[in-house]
Order: sequence, then C-alpha cells, then structure tokens
Amino acid sequence: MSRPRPVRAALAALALLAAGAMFGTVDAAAQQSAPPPTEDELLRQIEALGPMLEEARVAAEAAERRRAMEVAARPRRPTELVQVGPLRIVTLPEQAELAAQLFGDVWRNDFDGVAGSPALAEHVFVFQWAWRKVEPLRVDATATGSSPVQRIELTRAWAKTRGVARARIRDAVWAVLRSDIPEDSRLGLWIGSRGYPSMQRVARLVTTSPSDDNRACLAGVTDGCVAALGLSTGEMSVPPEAAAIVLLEAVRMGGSGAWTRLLEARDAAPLDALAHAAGVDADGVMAAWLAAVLAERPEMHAGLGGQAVRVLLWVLALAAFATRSTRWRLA
Amino acid sequence: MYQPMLFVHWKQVRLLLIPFVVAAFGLPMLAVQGLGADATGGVSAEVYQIVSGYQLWLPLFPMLAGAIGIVLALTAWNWDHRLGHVYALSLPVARWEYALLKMGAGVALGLVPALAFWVGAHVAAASVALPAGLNAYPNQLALRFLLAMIMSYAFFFALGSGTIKTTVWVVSAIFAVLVGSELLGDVLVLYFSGLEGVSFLELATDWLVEMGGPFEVFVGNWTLIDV
Repeated sequence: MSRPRPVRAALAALALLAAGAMFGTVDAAAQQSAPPPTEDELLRQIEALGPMLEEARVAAEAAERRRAMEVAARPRRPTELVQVGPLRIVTLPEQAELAAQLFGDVWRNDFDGVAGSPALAEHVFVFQWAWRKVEPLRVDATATGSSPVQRIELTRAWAKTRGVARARIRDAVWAVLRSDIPEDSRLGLWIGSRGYPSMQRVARLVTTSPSDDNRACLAGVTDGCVAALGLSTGEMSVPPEAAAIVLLEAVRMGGSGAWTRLLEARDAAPLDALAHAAGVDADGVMAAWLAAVLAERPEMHAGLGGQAVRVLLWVLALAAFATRSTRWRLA
Repeated sequence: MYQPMLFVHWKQVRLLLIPFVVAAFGLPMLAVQGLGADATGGVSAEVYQIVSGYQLWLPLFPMLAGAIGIVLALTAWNWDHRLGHVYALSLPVARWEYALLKMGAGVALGLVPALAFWVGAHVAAASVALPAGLNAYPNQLALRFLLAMIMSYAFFFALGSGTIKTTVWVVSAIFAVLVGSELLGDVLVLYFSGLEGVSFLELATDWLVEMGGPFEVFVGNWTLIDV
C-alpha cells in the first residue's frame, strides 16, 4: 500500500534530517578526537595564507589605480581652496563657506593650540557634503602641489547632521596629526591607531568603568589617572581613545611649540613626553585631562525643555484634530 | 461643565487606573532594587552595577507611560460610543468645546499616575547611596514620563474621537508609509539617481522619533541614575 504524497515527503525530510544530524555528530566527534595541530603545522597554514594576502593587496592597489584613473578621466569641476588655521581645504565653490564653518568649529574646539605639525602643513583636505551621490573631486595640482590628500566626501543620506560631518572632519584631522608620530615610537605605541574619541563617551566610561584606578583618578589621585591611562603599566582601564585627549590637552597647555616638543620626545616614556610638551609636571597634565573630560560629561536629560514644547505643540495639533470629528454628523 | 466631565471620566477609569498608579510608583523602586548595597566588589563594582543594572529596566518606563495614555484615551470616549453620543448631544455645548473639555479631563487624570511616578522616583533615588560621579534625575525622569503619557493620550484620544472610517484611514496611512516607503524609494531611484542610498523608511522613522516628531519623547534618555 503506497503512502499519500505529503506523508512520503515528510518521511523523506525526516530521513534527511536524521542523516544530517548523524553526519554532523560523526564530524563533531572526529573533530573532538583529532589531535590539535602542532606549531609547525600552524606555521605552514599561516605561510600558506601569504600568497592570498599578497594577491588581495595587489588587487586592492589595482582597484585604487582604476579609481584614480576614473576620477582623472572625469571633467574637472571648479574648486576653491579654503584656509582654516594650518588646514588647507579643497571644496566646491558653493560649499566653501560651509567648509570654512565646519573646519573652523573643529579646529577651534578640538585642535586649537596644535601648531607646527609637519603633516598638517603638508596635507590637503578635500571636502564635500552633498545631497546627491558624491563623485570624488579632482584636485588641481597647480594650487596644491603634490600634497597628500585626505578626503572627507560625505553624502547627506549617511551624514545627516552637521554634528556627524564635524565628527568625520575631526577623525580626518586627527588621522593626519597622528601620522606625525611614528607608529613604532614609544609615544606612537601608547596612542595606538584609533580614531578621535567622542569626549562624551570617554567621560561617561571614565565615570562608570569598574576599575579602582578610575575611582582613584576621579577622587583626584594622580597615580590613579596615570595607571588608568596605561602610562605606568601599559594597560588602560579607560577607553584607549582617551590617550588622544591627554595628548591634545598637554599640547594645549604647552602653547607655542608644544607639538614640536612632543615630537622631539616621542621616544621617551609617554608620561615624560606629555609633561615635556605641556611644560608642567605629570600632576598638572593629569589634572588638566581629568578636568577636560569631566567638563564634557554628557547632560543626561539635555533638551527636555525643547521636547516639552514640541509635545505641547503636537498635543494642540491632535486636540484640533479631535475637535474635527465627524461623529455628530448624523445625517 | 469641566467638573462633570472629570467626574464621569474618573468613574470610568478609576478601577483601571489603580494598577497603573501602583506600577508607576513601584517601577522606579524595582529598577534600583539591590543597587548601591555594600557589595563585596567595593565601590567600583557598585558604580558599574548601578548603571548597567538600571539599564535593563529602561524600556519599561516609556512603555508604562504609553499604556496609561492609551487607557485614558480609550476610556474617555468609551461611554460616548456605547451610548450612541446621546449624553454628549444633550449637553448645551458645541462639539469642539465638548472634545476639549473631555481631553482636559483626561490630562488631569493623567497627573495621578505621573505624581505617583514622581514620588516613586524620588524614593528610589533616595534609597541608593550614589558613589562619586553618579547623579539621580527623578524630576527630569518624571517630567519625561508625564510628557510621554500625555503624547500617547493625545494621539489615541484624537483617533478615538473620529469615526471608525477615519481611524482606519489614519492607521492605514501609517502602515502604508512603513511598508510602501521602501518600495517607493526603489521606484523613484529609477527616475532620480540622486535619491540612491536614501531610505524613505529611515527618513520617516527618523522624523517620527528623532527630529521633533510626535514620538521623540519616547526614545529620549530615560535614566534615573547616570553620570
């Protein structure tokens, strides 16, 4: 007697599932019983990845060359060069004022006091913030020479607010500044390669992180701050991006020539380099850093007053809507 | 005329309101329960425990505010719909005045759970010994709770005031925006290449909950204890 088709299909599916489960179990058991690979085997596996890595690198370079050729083949759009402090910005003429505003805000708020950076003097920033799809701008070499280019080309679909645009500019300026400090120097190793931090995020994490060093630091103990920043042990208990804040705070304190002094001392112990740049002792640098971080502590209920007004307006609009009901039009 | 409205609405909602008042009073205290005690981890563990422990309860605050608003709004129109608007038509007031009086009565009744929440938040904040660096925000949280409740109430009050047909139209329009906006974006991008990468659903959601939209207050910061 033959079974109905749905029943046969269900039985076949069950059989498949059972077989799959059985093979899976066998495979897992085989994996458990297999001895762990030796060091030589692991080294061979790693070496086997070398050609693939090289292939990927060559492909990435070719893609970059193709992209550069595509950009070069496009008709050149007119551009304008804007100068904000030591920053040179190439942008579209209609966005020159916007670029000056945004870069000016970032420079004043985050990097004021950083003077004498060779990398900043050398680089050119290309800026666009457009509604449409962004086409990379061609930079006129007659105006900028053969300067390296740092691009901040944003579409408003992703970077909706001025705050987001400023954050991207901040990251780009920090990336260029960071390139002044060799990665293998002691200062470079301490800073790491992270982006520019959000001060509010750092402030919140410093305050709430479960670390005795942090608590001591908050209580004003310099050694606590030194330890929390990894300046004594190398292990940070605050977010690693906090290093950028200490560094810039030390440069701000040091005033004229501080960045140059910092670069001179890049191979000294990071705490000594910071104190050398700031022209004060470690206590002074740590106190300034802590004060700067706590001043940026996020206001947890910011904007509540504005929200109350907006809710009131919405309620009035909805009340007006409610009075227009058709319930009583009985005809 | 306002007083009878308030009284009638109170009679309608008082039994339903009791559990909400209790919840509004108790929720902040439940949220801080066990926090700030003299844990073996010392003060550092306390700070972490307070902030992370409290985070788990955060979604319940706007949910409670929204639920109270819905209950108040539905009970506001309940007896009108049940009795065929006879009581309303018998009153010597215009329709718009009647609706506004009724809305005002609901808002006044909403102050009861809001007050309970405010007291509960203060008691909860006082029950935790806060380490340096942390602060309690009972007033701000209670104001946010009140605003969210009023917003929810106004929205559902407006929906409840209309005919079934109007309500269906409004709900359908919201549903159409949520479902159809991505589809519309895909079609428009064929004709306007500048719209590539623009998500209409995301824009609509952003407008509703972020950029001054009606539900902005629900997604704000609902912390009682934080930095």
